[in-house]
Amino acid sequence: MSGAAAFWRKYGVLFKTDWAIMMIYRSETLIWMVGAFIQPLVSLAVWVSLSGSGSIAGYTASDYVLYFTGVLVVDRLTRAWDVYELDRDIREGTFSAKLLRPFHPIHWSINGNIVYKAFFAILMLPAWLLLAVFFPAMRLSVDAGTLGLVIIAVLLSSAMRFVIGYQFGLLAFWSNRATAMYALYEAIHMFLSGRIAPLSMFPDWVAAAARVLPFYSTVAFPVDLLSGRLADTPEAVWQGFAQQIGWLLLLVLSLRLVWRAGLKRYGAAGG
Amino acid sequence: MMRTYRLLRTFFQACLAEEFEYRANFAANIAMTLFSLGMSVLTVLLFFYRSESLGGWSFYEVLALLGIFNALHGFIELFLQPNMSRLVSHIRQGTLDFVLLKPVDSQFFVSFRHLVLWRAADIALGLGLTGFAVWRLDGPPSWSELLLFLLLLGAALAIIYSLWTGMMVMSFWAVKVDNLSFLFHSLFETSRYPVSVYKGALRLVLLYVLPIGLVTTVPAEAIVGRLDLANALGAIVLAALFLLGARWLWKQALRAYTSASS
Repeated sequence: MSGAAAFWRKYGVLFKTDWAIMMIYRSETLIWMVGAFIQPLVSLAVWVSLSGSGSIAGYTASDYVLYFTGVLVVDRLTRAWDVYELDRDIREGTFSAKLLRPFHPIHWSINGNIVYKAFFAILMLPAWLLLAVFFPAMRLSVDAGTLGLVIIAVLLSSAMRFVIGYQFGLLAFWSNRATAMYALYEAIHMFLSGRIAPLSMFPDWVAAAARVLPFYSTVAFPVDLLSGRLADTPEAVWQGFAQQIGWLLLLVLSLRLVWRAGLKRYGAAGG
Repeated sequence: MMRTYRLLRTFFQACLAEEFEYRANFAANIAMTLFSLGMSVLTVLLFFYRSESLGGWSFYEVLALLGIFNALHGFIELFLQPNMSRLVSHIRQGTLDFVLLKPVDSQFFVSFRHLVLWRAADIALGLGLTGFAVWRLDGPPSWSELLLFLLLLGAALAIIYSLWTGMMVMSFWAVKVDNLSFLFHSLFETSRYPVSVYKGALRLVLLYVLPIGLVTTVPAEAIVGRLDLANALGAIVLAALFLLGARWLWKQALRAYTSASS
């Protein structure tokens, strides 16, 4: 069997195993999914209340509904959680066993992400379609081509957030506060990625900083694409994709460096 | 009563000794608390950057409420969260037997034995923020306002405690309740802002059915001097009912407890 075929076969097996495990814990997975909905919904309620019957910086109440529904879905499909498991594995030494397997540990994590995100997507997208029947504010007015671009943007963002989260997890090679550092990062991400508010609500310099750094492109960019806000500005679409790809390359590069340096430091605790 | 106090003091001292084994951790945790409070104040600043009022509340009124939210969150993390996870393992491994054999009220023991003391910083900072906001609004509050505030804060604590006990009790039947505590934390987020932000039926649900919206809004109303008498009475009656309910549930649960196989 050729190398590539063996590689994909391993992924196939991993996918089936992880899918089966997830189905055993499906109620937990559901609770986990629904719990993450609350924060965007609270933000939505606040902004709808703030805007009243008027509009703020170009957003009316129904614009906010579409925006935060987008945030809810995009954030759920792109958020990474590997930092907690990595931190525990490295601290307690169970990472050793994973290193001995004939498949790089990162593939287990990538596969886990694919499994859960596929599950979320299968549940959330039909739910959106159904709700859109009853709530006109949730209807999309973009063409099929743009929807294709949204899917690509979500995949790229998911990869970015995964690599960022994985590097935070690898910090456990040096410090036992990797999860605390990740919490700091998440708090800033919450702000600058557009999860609290569309970026046009912020002072201009904050919005500008969020656009340059890898924040806007992870959540607000796919959402803006989806809600049709970028329909008249094709250059903003290409800028967004260029940023996603540029940051992803940089992040993958730094991941390789951090991984190598970290492994040298690693001495398993308790064998 | 005296005995309860002495027991609480012993729990406190044991946990304090434990905490001071890890001093660097303690300092880092406090820094984390300051950071997250700073971020939530920034969020409120953002809301008021383009608007004058949030659900009829002014900037400092919302800050006062945010301080209460932070203090209640600290209370959950100090008392409730650490004990919850232990109760689950007590039940799974059958070690609840040892608790039941102690000459203490078992509900009291499993609720308050373990304290994460650095979370007191959340409570202090939260109440500090409330104090600052109230002072900026119109100077020091009157004695009657302060008294009413403390009473309603007590009611809020009783409601939160009862909800948690209700959740803990679930672990007698369904062992995995960590998910429920995650869900509670998520729902608790809704009380970060005045309940008047929410519309229609949702507001009523958050106020009286799942009274999570009530726990921050009502004490905040009292301290900023805009108290709705119906809400205040509602909070106190609900608190009493919830405490009774929690006690009843705990007794039911103990009756269902069969220990682990050993």
